[in-house]
Amino acid sequence: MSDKVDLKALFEPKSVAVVGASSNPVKIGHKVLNNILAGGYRGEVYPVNPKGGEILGLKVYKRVVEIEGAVDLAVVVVPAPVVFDVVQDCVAAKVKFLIIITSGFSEVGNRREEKKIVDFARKHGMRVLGPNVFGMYSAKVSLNASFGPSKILPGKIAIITQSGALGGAMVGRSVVDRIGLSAIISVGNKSDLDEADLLQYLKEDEQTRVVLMYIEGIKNGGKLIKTLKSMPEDKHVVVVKSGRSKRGALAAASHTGSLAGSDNVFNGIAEQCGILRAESVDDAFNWARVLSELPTVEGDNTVIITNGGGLGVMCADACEKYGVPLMDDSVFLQRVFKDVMPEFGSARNPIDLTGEAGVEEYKVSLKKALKAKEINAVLALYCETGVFDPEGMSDMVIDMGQVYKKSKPILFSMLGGEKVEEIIDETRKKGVHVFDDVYDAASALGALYGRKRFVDEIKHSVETPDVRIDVVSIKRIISKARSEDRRFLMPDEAKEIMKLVGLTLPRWRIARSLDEAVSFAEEIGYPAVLKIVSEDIIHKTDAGGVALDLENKNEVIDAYQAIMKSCRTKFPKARIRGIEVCEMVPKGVETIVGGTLDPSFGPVVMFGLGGIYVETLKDVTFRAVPLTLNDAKKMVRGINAYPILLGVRGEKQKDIKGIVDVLLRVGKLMEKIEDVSDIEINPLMVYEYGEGVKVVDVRILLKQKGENV
Amino acid sequence: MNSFVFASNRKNAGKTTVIMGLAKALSDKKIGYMKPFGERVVYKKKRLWDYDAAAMTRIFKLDENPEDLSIGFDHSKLLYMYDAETVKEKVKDNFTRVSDKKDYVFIEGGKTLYHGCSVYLDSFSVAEYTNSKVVYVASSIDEFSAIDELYHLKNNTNFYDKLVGVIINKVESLENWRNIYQPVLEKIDVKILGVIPRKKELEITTPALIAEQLFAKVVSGEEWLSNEIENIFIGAMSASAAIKNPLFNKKNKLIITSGDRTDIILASIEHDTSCLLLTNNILPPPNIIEKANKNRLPLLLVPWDTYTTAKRVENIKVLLNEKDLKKLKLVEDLVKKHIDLSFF
Repeated sequence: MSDKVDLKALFEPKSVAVVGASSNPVKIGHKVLNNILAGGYRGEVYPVNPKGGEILGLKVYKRVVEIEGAVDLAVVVVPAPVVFDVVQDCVAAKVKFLIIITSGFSEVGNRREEKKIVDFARKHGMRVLGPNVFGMYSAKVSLNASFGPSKILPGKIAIITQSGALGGAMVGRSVVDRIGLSAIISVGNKSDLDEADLLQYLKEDEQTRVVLMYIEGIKNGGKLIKTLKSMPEDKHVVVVKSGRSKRGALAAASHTGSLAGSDNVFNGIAEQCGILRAESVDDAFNWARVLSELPTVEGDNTVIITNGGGLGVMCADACEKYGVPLMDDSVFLQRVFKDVMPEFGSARNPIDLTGEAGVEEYKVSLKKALKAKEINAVLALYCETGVFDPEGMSDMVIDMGQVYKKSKPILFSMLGGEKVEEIIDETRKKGVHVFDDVYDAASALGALYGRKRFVDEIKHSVETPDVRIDVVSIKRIISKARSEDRRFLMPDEAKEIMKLVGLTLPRWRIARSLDEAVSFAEEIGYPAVLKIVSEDIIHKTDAGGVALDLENKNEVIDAYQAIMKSCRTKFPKARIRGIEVCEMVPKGVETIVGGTLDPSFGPVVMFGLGGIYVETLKDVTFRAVPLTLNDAKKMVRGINAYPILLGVRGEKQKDIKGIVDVLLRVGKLMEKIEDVSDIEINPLMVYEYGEGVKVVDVRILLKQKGENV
Repeated sequence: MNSFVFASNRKNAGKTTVIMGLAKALSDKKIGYMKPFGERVVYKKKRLWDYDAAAMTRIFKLDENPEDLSIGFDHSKLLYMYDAETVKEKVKDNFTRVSDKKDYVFIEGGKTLYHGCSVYLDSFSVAEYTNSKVVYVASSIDEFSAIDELYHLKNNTNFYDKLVGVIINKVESLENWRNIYQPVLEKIDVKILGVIPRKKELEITTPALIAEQLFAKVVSGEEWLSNEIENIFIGAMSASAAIKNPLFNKKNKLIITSGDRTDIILASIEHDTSCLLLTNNILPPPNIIEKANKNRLPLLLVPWDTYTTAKRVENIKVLLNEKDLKKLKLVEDLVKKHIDLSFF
C-alpha cells in the first residue's frame, strides 16, 4: 500500500450515499441517514435500498450505480453476506471511499471475505474504512455519518477509535463535557485505512489541534511511527492504548524478546514520537481539552494559588508526580503577591491566600500572575469556605479564564459542595473548564509540559552522527550460518559482527579441547573467563557454563572440566561446539543493549540495567529504529537506574556517551540487516566517563525462515 | 588396613549408599574414602569436587578436603595431565594419604566397569594400584538385570575372578530373590556378601534437592525445603479433572505445572502437596504466592516447559548428605541386617 492517501473526499465529501438506508427508525440504516440530515450536512445525500421509495423526504435509489451525480463517499449498512455486491456496485459508480459499518468479518474470523472486499476495492481505486465501525463525523462539512449520538459539538479535537462502542460513548461524553470535535472516526478492523492514514489528513487539517486515539492493536507500526514523527509541533496526539500483553519467557530467545511486551515497546515509542499516553479516557479528555484550548506553556515556572494550605500541598505533590515544574523564587513571589496576602499568608509556592480570601483577592492575584511574565502557568485552587460568593466566583473564573487564554495556561480546580458544583457547571457552559480534583488539573498541566519538553528537545537536538557498519561482511557471516541451517550465531560469529559494527570487545578465542583452552588462556592472559559455546544452551550461567576470574592454568583446567560436565549433565542433547576463552574485563556497571523484532513496530532497540537479573528488574526502555542521537540519549535517561550512571555515593559519572554510541550502532544493525531477529549484548560493561564501554557477551539470533515482520 | 574398590556396571547401582552404610556399620573403625574418577561435579568459588566425596567427608568427618579425593572428572583433563604411569602414581599418592592410620579405605569406582579405561582409572586398574579387593555392587532394579550382569562377567570377561564378592542391591522382594533368582546365581558360584532390599524411603526426595539439581529459583517457602516428596503429579489439566485423579490425592507430592495455571496451583495448595515446581519462568500472582506460603508450601521456578521439567525431575538422583539422618540410619540398619560384615 502507498504511504500517502488523499482523504479529502472522506473527510470533506461533496456527496454521501447511505447504502442500506431504512425507513425503520430502530435500524442503523435509518439512524445514519437521520444523523447526516440532522447534523446539517450541506452536500448531496443519497439513500440506497433495493426497495426504493422515499425515506426522510429523500428519493431512495435501488442501486448506487443509478445515482445521477458523483458519489464521494458511501456508508454501507447492509448485512455482511451482501457487502461484496454493494462494493461492486460502488466501484461501478466510481465511489471514492467506503465506510463499511457492517460487522461480521475478520473480527469473527471471516478474514477471507474481508480481504476479498478490500482487494477488489483497492484494485479499482476505492479505499475502505472498516468494516465493523460506527461511522464518522467531520466538522468541516458538518457530516455526522454514524449511528452514534446525533448531537456533536464542533471543535478542535479529532478522535480516532478502534472501538465503535467506546467511540460512541466518547461522543456522548464530549457533548456532556462540552468538548468540541473536529472529527471522530472509527477504524474498526483496519482492513485498509488505518490510524496512520487518517493522521496524514488530520495533521494538515487546520481545524484539528489535538488527535485523541484509542488503540488496541497496531498492524503497521512502522507506518504509524513515521506519521507520528511528522506531526507538526503545534498538533498534539493523545493515546489511550489497551490490550497489554505478555510474551512467555520461554517463547522468547533472549531477555530482550521476553521483555518486549507490547506495552513496554509502545511506551518507548510514545516517548520517541512525543505522543502522550493516557491511562484512562478521563485523562485523555482532560489532556486533549487543555492541549486544544489553552496556550502552550513557555517556561518552567508554574505557580499554585490557593485559599487552602492543604489543597495547595496536595497540588504540589500532584505537580511533582506529573512533571509540572513549580516556581521556586520566593523573593520574587513575595514581591508580586505581598499585597494580596494577609501577614500570616505564605509567599512560597503554593501561594496561600488563606481562607479569608474572597473573589476580589483571587482576581487581584490572578491578574498579578497574568501580568508577571516570569510566571508561565497558574493552577488556581479554591476550597469552599464561609466567605463564599458563588456568583462572583463564577463570573471571575469565566473572566480570568478567557483573559488567560490569550496569554498563558491557567487551570482551575475547586473543591466543595453543591454550590461549587454549580460553579463548575456554569463555568464549563461558558467555555472555561474547572476541575473538581487537583490531581486531574495537575495531570492536564503535566500534559502541556510534556509536549513542551518534547518540542524543546527536538528544537535543541544535535544532529545524529553518521554511524557506519560493514553491512557486506556482516551479511557474509549470516549467510554462512544460514548455509548450515542455523538461526543461532556462534559466539565467534556474533563477536565478529560486533567488531564490524564498530564495538569494542575483550580478547577471545574458541577452544575445542582442554589443550587449546589452556594454550589460549596463556596467550590471552589472566584473569580469564571460560564460557560454553552451544546454540542449545541459551542461558549459560544457569547451565553452569560460565567460569569467571581464572587466574592460572590449574584453575582453567578445573573450570573446563566443571563446565563440560555440568553442561553435558544438564543438557545432554546440546551440541557443544567448544569453550570460549576470553579476557576477564574489569567490573563496571552491567547494562544490557538489545534489539528485537516487535510484531507491531518492527525492529526496536532496548537499553537497561543488565546482568543475570535483567528479567527480574525489568528496568529497560525501548525505541523503534531508526534511532536519532536524541532517542538514544533519552533511552539512557529513561531507566530508573540512570542516577547510577550519573554517579552515586561518591562514584564518578559513567561513560554515557559510550552507551549512546552502542545504541546507535545496534540500531543501525537492526535497521540495515533485516535477517536479524534478536540481538543481545548482556552485559555491556560501562566504565567511568572517558574509559569507554565493553561488550562482554553477545547473542544474535536470525529470523525463522519465511518470517516477515 | 583393608581396602576395597566398589565397582558396578551401571549407573546408580548404589555404590555410594552401600559405602555409607558400611562406614556407618563399622563406625568403631577409622574409615578412609576415595573416588578417583569424580562424577557429580560441584564447582564453587573455583574449587571443584565430587558431591559424594563431599558428603562422605562431612558425614564421617574425614580429615581430607573433598577436592583431594578425586583425581579428575573429565577425560579431557586426565588425558591432558596424566599418562599411564603418572596416573598410577597419583592414585597411589592419594591412597597413601587417605589410608594413613585408617582401618578401612573404601574406594568408589566409576559408573561402569569400563568407565575411565582410556585414562587408566577404571575400577580394576585402581584396585591394582592400591592393592584393593574389588566388591561388585549389582542393582536388581529389574530382577534379572543383576544376574545377567554377573553371568556376562563370568562367561565373557576375565573380570569375574577378580571379584571377591557381590552385593545385590535394590531387590524388590527378598522372598522372590531367595526362591527364584538366587538359585540361578548359585550355579556360577558367586560369593554373595549381601542382598539389600529396595526401600522407597531412600527414594524420597525434597524440594531442596530438586532446587539444587535443577538450579530452580526458590520463589517462597525457604523454611519448608525439607518437605518429603514421595509422589509426582504433572498438572496439565483443569483443576476439577485433577481433583478426580487418584494420583492427585496422594500425599507428599510434587506438582509440576506452569506458573499461570492458577487453578491447579490453588487446588494443589489445598491437597496435601509438598512442593510446587512452576515451569516456563512464569510466576503466579502475589496473592497465590502468599497463600502457598501460609500453607507451608515451597514454590520453585524453572525456565523450561512442563514436559522438559518433568523429564529432568525423573532423572534426579536422590543423593544422601549429612542432613539426611533418617535415611543414613536406615542405610546403616540395612547394611547391618543384610550384609555379611564379618567379610569386611
